Amino acid sequence: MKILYAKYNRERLPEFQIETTIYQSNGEKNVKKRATTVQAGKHIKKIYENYLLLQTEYQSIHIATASMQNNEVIFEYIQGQSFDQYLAKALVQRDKKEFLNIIQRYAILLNNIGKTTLVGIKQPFGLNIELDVMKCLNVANIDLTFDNIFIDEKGCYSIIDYEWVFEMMPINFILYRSIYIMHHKYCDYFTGFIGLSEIYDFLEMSQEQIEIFKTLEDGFQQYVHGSDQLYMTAVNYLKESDSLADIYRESKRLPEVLAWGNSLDEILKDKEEKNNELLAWGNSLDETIKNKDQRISELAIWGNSLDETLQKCQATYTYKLQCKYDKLRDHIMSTSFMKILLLSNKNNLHKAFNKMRKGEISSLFKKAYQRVSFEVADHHTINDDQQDEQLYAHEQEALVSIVIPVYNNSQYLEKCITSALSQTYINVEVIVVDDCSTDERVYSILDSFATNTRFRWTKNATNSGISATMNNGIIASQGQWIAFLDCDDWLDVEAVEKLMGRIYAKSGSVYGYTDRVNAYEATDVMEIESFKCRPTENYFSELLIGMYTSHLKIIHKDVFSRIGLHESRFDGAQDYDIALKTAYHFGDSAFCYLPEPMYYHRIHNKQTTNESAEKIENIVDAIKNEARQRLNIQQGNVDKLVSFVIISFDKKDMTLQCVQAIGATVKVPYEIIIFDNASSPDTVEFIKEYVEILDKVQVFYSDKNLGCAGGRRQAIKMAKGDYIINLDNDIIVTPNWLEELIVRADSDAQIAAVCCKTIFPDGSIQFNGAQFAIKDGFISFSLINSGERDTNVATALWHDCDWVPGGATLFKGDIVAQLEYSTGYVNAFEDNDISLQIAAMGHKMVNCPSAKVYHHHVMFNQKQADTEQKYIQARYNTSGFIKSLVTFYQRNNLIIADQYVHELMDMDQLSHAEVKSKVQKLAEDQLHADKG
Amino acid sequence: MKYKNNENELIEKIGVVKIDYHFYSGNDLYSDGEIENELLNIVKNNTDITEVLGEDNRWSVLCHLSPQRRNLLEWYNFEPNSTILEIGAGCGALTGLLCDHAQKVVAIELSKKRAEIIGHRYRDKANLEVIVGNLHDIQLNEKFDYITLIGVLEYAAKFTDSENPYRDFLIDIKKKLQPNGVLIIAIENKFGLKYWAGAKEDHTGKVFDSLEGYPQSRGIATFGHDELTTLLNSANFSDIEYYYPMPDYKMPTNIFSKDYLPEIGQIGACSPNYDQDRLVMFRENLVYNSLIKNDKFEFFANSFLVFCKNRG
Repeated sequence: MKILYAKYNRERLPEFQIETTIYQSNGEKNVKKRATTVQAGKHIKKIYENYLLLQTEYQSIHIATASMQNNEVIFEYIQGQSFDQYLAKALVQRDKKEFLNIIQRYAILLNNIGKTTLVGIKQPFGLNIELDVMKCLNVANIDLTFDNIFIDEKGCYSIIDYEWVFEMMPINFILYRSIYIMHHKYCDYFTGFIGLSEIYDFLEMSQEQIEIFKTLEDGFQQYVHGSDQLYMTAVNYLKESDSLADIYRESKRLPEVLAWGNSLDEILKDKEEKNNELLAWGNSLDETIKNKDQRISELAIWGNSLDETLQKCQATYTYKLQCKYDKLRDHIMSTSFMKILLLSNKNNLHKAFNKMRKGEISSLFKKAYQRVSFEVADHHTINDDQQDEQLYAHEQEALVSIVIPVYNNSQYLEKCITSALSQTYINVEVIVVDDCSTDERVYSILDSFATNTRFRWTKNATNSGISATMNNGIIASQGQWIAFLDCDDWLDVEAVEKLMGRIYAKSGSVYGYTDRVNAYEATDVMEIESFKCRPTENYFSELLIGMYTSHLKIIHKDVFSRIGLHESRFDGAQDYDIALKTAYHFGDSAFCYLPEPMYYHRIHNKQTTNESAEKIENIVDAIKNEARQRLNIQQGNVDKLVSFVIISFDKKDMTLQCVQAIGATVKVPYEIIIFDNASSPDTVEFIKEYVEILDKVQVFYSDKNLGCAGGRRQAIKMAKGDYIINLDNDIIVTPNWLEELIVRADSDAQIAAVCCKTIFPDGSIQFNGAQFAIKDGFISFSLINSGERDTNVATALWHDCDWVPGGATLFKGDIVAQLEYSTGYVNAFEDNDISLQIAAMGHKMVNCPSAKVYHHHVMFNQKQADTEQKYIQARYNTSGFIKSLVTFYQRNNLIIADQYVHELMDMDQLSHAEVKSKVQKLAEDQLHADKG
Repeated sequence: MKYKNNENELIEKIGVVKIDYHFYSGNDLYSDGEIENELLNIVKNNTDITEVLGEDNRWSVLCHLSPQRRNLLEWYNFEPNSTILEIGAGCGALTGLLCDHAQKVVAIELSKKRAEIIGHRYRDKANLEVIVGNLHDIQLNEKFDYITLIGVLEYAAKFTDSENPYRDFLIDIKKKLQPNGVLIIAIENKFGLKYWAGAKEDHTGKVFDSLEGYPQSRGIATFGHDELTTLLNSANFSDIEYYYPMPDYKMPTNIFSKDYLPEIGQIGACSPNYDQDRLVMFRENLVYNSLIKNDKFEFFANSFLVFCKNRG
C-alpha cells in the first residue's frame, strides 16, 4: 500500500479533526478518512452513517461506496472529472455560457436529488433564523460542493464526500455555498468574468435569501471551528507582507521623498553652519567675558586703592581745614554776604542767578542763594518775578527724621551719627533712641553731639528690643518722613537727598529704598548689593519670596498710622513685616526705588540684632504666614465663620450703613445677627424692608428694650461663628479691617479678644484698647488713646489691654462659649465684667491699630444727640446704670469709679467709705428684690 | 567531550524518558535563546498548548509546539515494531508522533535545553530515549529501521568536516540504518515557488538566497529536486520517493506525491510567512496553476519530503 496524498484540517474543533488520504494498493486507489484526535472518532462513524443514509435518500445519483474498517472509512476512488474541473475550465477559457450551463446543470441536479419539503429545520446550528417557505432537502449533504460531485464519461454523477449531512436544509443554501466556495477558490479568475451576485441572480436567489445563507454559512463555520476559532491560531503568526504593487507605488513616491530628503540635507547643512557660527560667537563671547572679569577685578583693585586714598585725604589736616572753611563760607553766604549783595544791587543778584541757572555756580552756592531768596521773598522784595517764584516753590524740603536705634557698638556710633548729620539734604533731624546700652562709651558719644540742634537722643526706660526702640524713635520724631539707620552702619552724605529726590519725583511714594554697600569689617571688602534685579512691581508677592527693601529706607509716618508700628514679636525681622504690610495696604505705588548704593551696611561679628538665625527664620515664616493669611481673608479663602453681632436701637440709617460696610469689606463666610432693642415702629419697618432682606442677615426683634448689655447677651447666644465681632449699629467698618483683626487674634493662642481702633468721624480716637486701675476696692476703667488724633503715630502702637470695650471688638467663638453674660447688666459694664472673666481664664486682650472703624456716636455729635432724645433716654437711663454698677459690685466685689454714674447716684461728693456702704446697701436691696 | 565521573550522572530520567548525557560537550551551541526557557516551562507545567498558541505570535513558539507539524508524517505507515532514529529532534515537534508509531525512538539533540524540553514534553513515552550530543560523537550500538532528518540535512556542512559534507553526512547516516531501512528527509526546495515570489530564504533570511545558490554561504545549503536525487544516489540510497508537503514541510496541510499531484485550483493563495516578513511578487496560486499545466509542480514545490532506502 502506498499513500499518494494526505490532507489535514487541524484548524477545526477536535471532534472534527480528520485525515483524508488517497492510497494505492494492488493497483487500486481508495480514499480513507480517519480521526486524528480521539474526539473525532464519532465523526468518522457519522460519515459512514451518512453513506448509508444517502444511499437510501438520494436515488438518482451514485454515492461513492464506503466501508468501515478499524475506525477508518474507506471510500471508493471515483474516476472522472468533477463539476469543479469543468467550471474551472470554463473560467480559465472565460466561457461564460458554458460556465452558466454547468451551474444550471448542477442546480437541476440538486433540485432533483432527494425528497424535499417547504419546512426548514428549527434553529439550524443554533441560529435564530427562519428557513420556512424554502425548498429544503429532508436529508441535506450541505457539502455538495462542485469538487465533491464527479461526472463520468457516461454522464453519471457521483458524490464523493458526505462529511456534512444535516436534516432539512434549503437546496439553495447548498447552491449558495458551493458557488461561494468556488468563487473563493478561483477569485482571481472571476475578476472581469462574472460576479457572485450575477450568478446568484442567474439562479434566481433573492438578496434576502443570500443574507440568510450568509448567516447560515457563518453558523456552519462556527459549528466546525467553534465560535472562538480556538484552533485557527496559525493566522495570528503571519508576519507582514509587502506586495510588489505596494513597493511600486512606494517607488513612485521616491523622487518626492528624495527631494524632501535633499531639502532636509540642505537644512541640516544650514543648521551645521549656523551651529559653527554660534560656536565661534560663543567662543568670542567667552573671550569677552574673560576680559570683562579681568577688567572688573582691575577696577575693583583701583576702587579699593581710591578708598584708601580718600580715607588718607579725609585724615589730612588740609581736608579738615577745607571742611571748616566750607562751613564757615556757607554760614557767611547764607546770611550777611548775600544780604549785602542783594541789598546793594538787585540786578547783580539776577545776573548771578542767571549764571547759576546756566550751571556756572556750585550747588552749594545755589542752595545758599535760594535760602536768601526765600528771605527776600518774605520781604516782598522780588516777588514780582513769576519765573523765579516757581523755582523757589520747588525747593520745599520736608523734614526727614533719621531714626537710629542704639544698643552698644560704640565703636561705630560716631561714624554713624556723623554720616546722618552730614547729609547734603539740609532739613534733617537725627533721633537716637538708646535701648539701655551697657557700653558706657555710647553715652559720652551721644552727649558729644548734644550741641547739635538737629540731634536728639532718648533712652528707653528698660531694654525693650529693636521694634520698641524704633517705635520710640518714630514717636519722638517731628518729621513726616522717617529714615532708618542702624547704629553700626553709616550713610552716604547724599543718601537722604537722593532718595527724597526720587520720592518726590514719584508721586504717591511713601516708602523709598536704595541699594546698599555691604562693608565686611573682617576683610575690609566693600560689596555693592543692588536690587536692580528685583522687580519694582508686585511687591507683595515679591517680598513674600524675600526681603529686599531694607537699606536705606525712608518711610512716611502715615504708613505706620495705617499699618501700625513695629511689632516686638517680630524683633529681628521687623522691617520685613513693615515692608510686607506696606505692600499689602498701599500696593506697588507706595514704593520708590533708588538704584544707587546709599547705605553702608557694616557686617561684623557684633551685630546689634542678636536674635539667632533660627529664631529669625521662624519669625520670617510667621510674618509670611500672616501676610498670606491677610490676603486669604481678604479674598475669602478661609473656611472660618465670622458672626457679626449688632445691637440696633433706632438710628435705622446707621444700621443699614453698618451692614452694608460689612458686606463691602468681608469676603469670608459670615453671618450678621441684628438684635433690635425695641426700636420705634418706623425703624422696625425700615429694618424689615431694607436690612433683613440682605444676604446673610438675621434680625431678632425684641419687644422691650433690654439695654445694650441685655441685647448683646441675647444676640451673642445666637452667634455660631469661629469669631464673634460685636458692633454697635452706628459703627462703620473700613477696608482691610477684618483681616487685620483676625490676623491679630490668631497671632497668639492666648489672645481671646481684639478691639478695633475706634475713631470718631472727626479723626479723634474713641478708644484703642482700654485699661483699668484698682485701688481701695474701687476700679476705674479708662480708654486708651481716647481723644487723641488717629494720625498721631503714637496711637499706632500694638499693646495688650486690661479690658476691651464691647462696642467694636472681636471675640474668639470658643471663648465666648465659656463666658457668663449676667442678666444684671442693663446698659453698661457687661463688657468690663466679660473682660475680667477673660483675664481670669488666663487669656489676653489686645488692641489692633490697623483695624479701624468709625463710630458715629451720638455723644460725639451734640446736634444729633438733641434730635434723638429718645435714644438718650433709653441708653442712659439712671436706674439701668445703678443696677449695672451694683451687679458689677456683686459679681466682682469692686466698685466702679465712674464719675458719670456716681453723679447719677448722687455719690460724687461722698467719701470712699460712704460710697462703699451705699453700694453695699443697694446690693443687698437688689439681692432682696431679685429673690422677691 | 567532557565525561563525568559518575556513570549515573550521565543518565537522567525525566518521567520514563531516558536522557543520555554521555556525549554531551557541556555547551549548548545551538539555541533560540530565552524562548527555550519559556518552552521548557510550558512543557514542564503541562500548559494547554492550544491556549499557548492562541496567545502568542512568535514563530519559535508555533514551529516548536504546533500540532500541525505532525501533518508531515501523520499519514505515513511505519512498519510495525520498528526502531526510529530521529536526528536533530529540536524541541520534539515530531518526536511524539514517531513514538506513537515505533517500538523504539532514539532522538538525538545537540542542545541540553532542548533535550530537556523533549524529555518533559514526552515524559510518559517509555519507548523514547534522548541522547544529547553531536551525531558524529555519538556511538550507537544498533542500527535503525528508520532515520529522520527533518530540517537537518541543510546544516550538514556545519557539523561534517569534509570536502563533500552532505554526501559524507548521508553516507555516515546510512551506516546507522538497517538493511532496507528507510531514510526520511524533509527539507526546503531551493527552487520553491515561494522563494521566486519573494519569501525570504528560511535559513538565511535573505531574498532569493537559495535561488542564487547562497553566494555568501554560511554552511547552509538546500537542494533542487534533481540535485537532491543526485546527492542521495551518490550516497547510495535507492528507491527514492518524493512527496510535496504544501505549503511547506513545517506547517503542511496537504501532502502531494508524484502519483497525486495538485490540480488547478488546489493550491492556496500565497505561502504563509509565519516566520518573517516577505515580499509578494506575484500570486503564487496562479503561477502554480500555470506550472501544473506544464507538469512543473514538482520542480517548484516549496518543500520536499523524501523517502529512500538503504539497499546495501
